[in-house]
Amino acid sequence: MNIVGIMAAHQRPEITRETLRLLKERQALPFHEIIVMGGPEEQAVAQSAGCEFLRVPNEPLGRKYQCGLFWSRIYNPDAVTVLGSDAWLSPEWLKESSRLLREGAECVGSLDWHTCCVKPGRPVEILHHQYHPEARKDFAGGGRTYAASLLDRMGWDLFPPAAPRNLDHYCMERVRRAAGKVAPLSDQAAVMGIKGPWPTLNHFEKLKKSPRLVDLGGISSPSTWMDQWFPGGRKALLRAVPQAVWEN
Amino acid sequence: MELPQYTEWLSTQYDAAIYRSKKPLTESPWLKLYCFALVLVAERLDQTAGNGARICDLGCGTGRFAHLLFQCGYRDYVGIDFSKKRIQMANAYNRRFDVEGPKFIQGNLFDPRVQAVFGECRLFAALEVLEHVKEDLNLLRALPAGATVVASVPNYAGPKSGHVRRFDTLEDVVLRYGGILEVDRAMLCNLNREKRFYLIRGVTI
Repeated sequence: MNIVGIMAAHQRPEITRETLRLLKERQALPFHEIIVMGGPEEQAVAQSAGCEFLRVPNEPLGRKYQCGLFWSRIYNPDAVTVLGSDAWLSPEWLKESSRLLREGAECVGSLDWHTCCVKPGRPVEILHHQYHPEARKDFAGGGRTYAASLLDRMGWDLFPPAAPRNLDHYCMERVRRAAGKVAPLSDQAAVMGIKGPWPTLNHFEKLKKSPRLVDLGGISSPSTWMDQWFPGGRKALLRAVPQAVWEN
Repeated sequence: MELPQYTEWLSTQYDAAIYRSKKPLTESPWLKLYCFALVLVAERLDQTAGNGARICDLGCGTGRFAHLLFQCGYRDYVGIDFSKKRIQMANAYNRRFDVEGPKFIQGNLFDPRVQAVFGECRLFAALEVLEHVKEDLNLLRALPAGATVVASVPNYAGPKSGHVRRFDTLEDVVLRYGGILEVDRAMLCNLNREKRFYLIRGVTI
């Protein structure tokens, strides 16, 4: 399956470099290509990682993603995965995405995600975010994958260009209007118990407003969790954020 | 490759041959080409002049590429085509977008009164246009120096296409236009098994 990733990056070249490294080294099913959309800070990082680079401004964010989506058509993809510069996707997550797409799903994503919280002088925390049950059930964070069949029906018009925020929600609305076959990949807490087997890690900062936090359910420590799902992730984080401190 | 057996079409011929250009953007056979062209436009507009830089769409036809630009939030646009019917359709198709002033102008690109518009523009799109025009090089020479041009030309021609030349390779395209444009992007776009377009972006010298 030919999957192309489109990654919006903005003024975080260090984390972008490590995210690209993990995606390229650790993924179970390689992306055919990853297209990075960013500014001058990311250009060298993207190109040295062997990625295609488009220089487009960060605002409006919808247009930035839309440019990447349009450009992905060069590769005649079967599906396009939306990535942020901090979208760490575990190999299992990618494998499961591909399986669902092969079975006919047209939009695969996750209803929850994790945050790697780095604060000066404090050990790294891994937080698990989940929407409230009454929330809109929009796929959140990086790793959402859209089949080309769905995008063809939508005229490849997925991201509302004027929307600076809440892109996830607007994209889902458009997918629903186009009658896309939606498959939630991992409502991790609800479906798999608290510890999901297909984690994604989508933020490297403290969120101002968290939808909901749940503990890591049986995972003994953040470093254990990281080693289990993202081999090499601890070193990668230290390269990107040298002040990060693991618990031991 | 010049095709002397084919002559340039009159505007009335374009009025009559409108079948495929009537399809909505999502079903347009050229949507893929427009997608790539939009990114080339976006990269250059956003790097140099901001979104306010006027885009001039040479041979805008029924306004499908304009529609894509408007969808993506670009509004400072003028489209020019010499087919009256196509201009009417372009206006009708893009009516819902709020664009100040006449966004589509009917006129001949070689008419000095029409060319007066060129001076207000920093970026020119010439998609599926240059292959229809015998004097394509003179058309590009009429654009202001330092302007960015995004252009496409095809690898095919036929009596029903209105093309007066076709290109066999990307190198042929760069060779023809390289003396007028400083080309920084050149790419191939396959529309189907046989038909393809070459897309280039460059700055007028």
